[in-house]
Amino acid sequence: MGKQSEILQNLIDSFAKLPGIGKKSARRISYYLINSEMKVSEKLADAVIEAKKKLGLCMECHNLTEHKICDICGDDKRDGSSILVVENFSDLYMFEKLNIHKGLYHVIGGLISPLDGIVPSSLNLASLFLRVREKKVRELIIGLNHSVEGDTTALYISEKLKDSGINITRLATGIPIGGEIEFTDEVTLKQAFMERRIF
Amino acid sequence: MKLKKIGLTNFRNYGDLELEFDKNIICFTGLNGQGKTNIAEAVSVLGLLTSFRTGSYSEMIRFGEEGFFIKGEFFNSSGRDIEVVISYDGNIKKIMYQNKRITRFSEMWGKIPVVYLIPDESIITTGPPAARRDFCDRLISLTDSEYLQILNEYNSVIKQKNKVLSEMKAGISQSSELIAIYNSKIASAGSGIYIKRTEFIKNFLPYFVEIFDFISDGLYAGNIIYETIMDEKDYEKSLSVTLREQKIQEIKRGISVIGPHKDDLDFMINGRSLRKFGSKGQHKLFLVALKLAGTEYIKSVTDEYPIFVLDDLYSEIDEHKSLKVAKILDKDIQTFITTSNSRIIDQLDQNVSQLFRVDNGNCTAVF
Repeated sequence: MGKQSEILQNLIDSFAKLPGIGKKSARRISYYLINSEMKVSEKLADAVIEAKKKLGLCMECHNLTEHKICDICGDDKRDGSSILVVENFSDLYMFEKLNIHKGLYHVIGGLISPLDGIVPSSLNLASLFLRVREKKVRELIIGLNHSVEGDTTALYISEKLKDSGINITRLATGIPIGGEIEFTDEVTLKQAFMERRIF
Repeated sequence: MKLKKIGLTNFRNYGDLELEFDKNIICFTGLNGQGKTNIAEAVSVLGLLTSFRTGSYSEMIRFGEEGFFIKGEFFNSSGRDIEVVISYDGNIKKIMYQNKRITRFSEMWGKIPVVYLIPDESIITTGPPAARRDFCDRLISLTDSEYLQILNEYNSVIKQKNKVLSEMKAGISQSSELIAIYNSKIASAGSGIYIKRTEFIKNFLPYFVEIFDFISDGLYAGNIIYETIMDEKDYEKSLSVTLREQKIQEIKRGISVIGPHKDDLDFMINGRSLRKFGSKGQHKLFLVALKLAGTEYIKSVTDEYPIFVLDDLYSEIDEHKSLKVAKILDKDIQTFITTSNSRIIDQLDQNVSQLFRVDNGNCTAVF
């Protein structure tokens, strides 16, 4: 077998560095691009560069935006007294699709995990605390994962804001819709029982 | 739980092997290094998803091959067939339980209970506390998946906290607040662990005491005591107070030293500590009784006897004791035995047992 072109290898390696893409997929994408028309590659390259150039973070909530302030923060019909704390853009998008939260968001950009080098100061937490103090925030909804890292971050936030007098809530845990009790893990089932509601 | 059929492909020194079992005692005999233990290992991997010899699946691949494949057909006491297929291509593990892909070990943990007694396990009675905690943690989680979850959560909190402590010791960070948060989790999850461990000992002990008495010909009275520096009247409160008091100490040492991950089980024989005063023979006997009691404990909780794997029979049990062990296992417990000692052939009752001779990766049925 002959030696593979260095240019091709470079392309494959670049794709393989992306999250969720392994060596095999990187190779497939590379071959696809090379075999397809030039304009496919040009479009892709332009889209990446344009996004990198024009997209930035909202000064208020750290959501992705083309402006200084994102569309959500800039919308005066939204309730500024309620803030939903999320880990990243994709979680924000999930909630936004539901059209259930009428307030604002705060993207903290990760979860506290010293093992991965993520400590409170690596996250957008100082700006959150500032927002809560300076704006008239009445409710903070913690929309973080129910994992050790999510719990730690949630506890950290609530500890920091315990004297602020605002209402802090967290997403409930329990049996998923359509889920069967028999196949629900015991910790979740217990939690669902403890958090049961008047029916 | 019983295994009625096993298939191995490129597993250890087997290219292709398929065996069927229809008796309770399945014995593999042959010279050393021929592949007896490999079959015992495969049985335990099918049930526990981990090997008792290695932590790495790669080591189980046949020399020169790229991956292995093992398949087990089981049936439980209510007659339900259960199929487990494990394949490994040198990169990805694929575990199928009833044709459904298992993505987390905890999803299958305990579904096919296996208890094994293998050489080199003396660490449980002679070694550091971690070995005894591990023994009890494994048995509890085989029957209680909530325990496994609490334990995993607890362990990840400890890891995170250790990282912070080591950085604080090195003066890189000052995350005192994080320590307090981790401590509150350690106190709540830790007391959950304590409660389940002590409950386990309470339920496990009667089986152990009876079996230990029986196999020692009434010579030894056994006991197991949970050892902790916490106040057992209110473990959670005591743990949370101690964590607060020892915070500076923990930072100084750069590692977390308070919590149930430092507790121990004290094994007692005739009122004295086995670890300090036990003879080699007493240690061996204690371990055998622990393992046998494990089968009764699992049966009492799940109503299902585990499969028992006895690797290298006479290394842990002498011939006189082996008859006694056989009596304890003679309760519809499927037992896989390996031994290089051919005298076992005379001891086996052909009505209830199967014998296979293993020779350089070939396995032939004798009866």
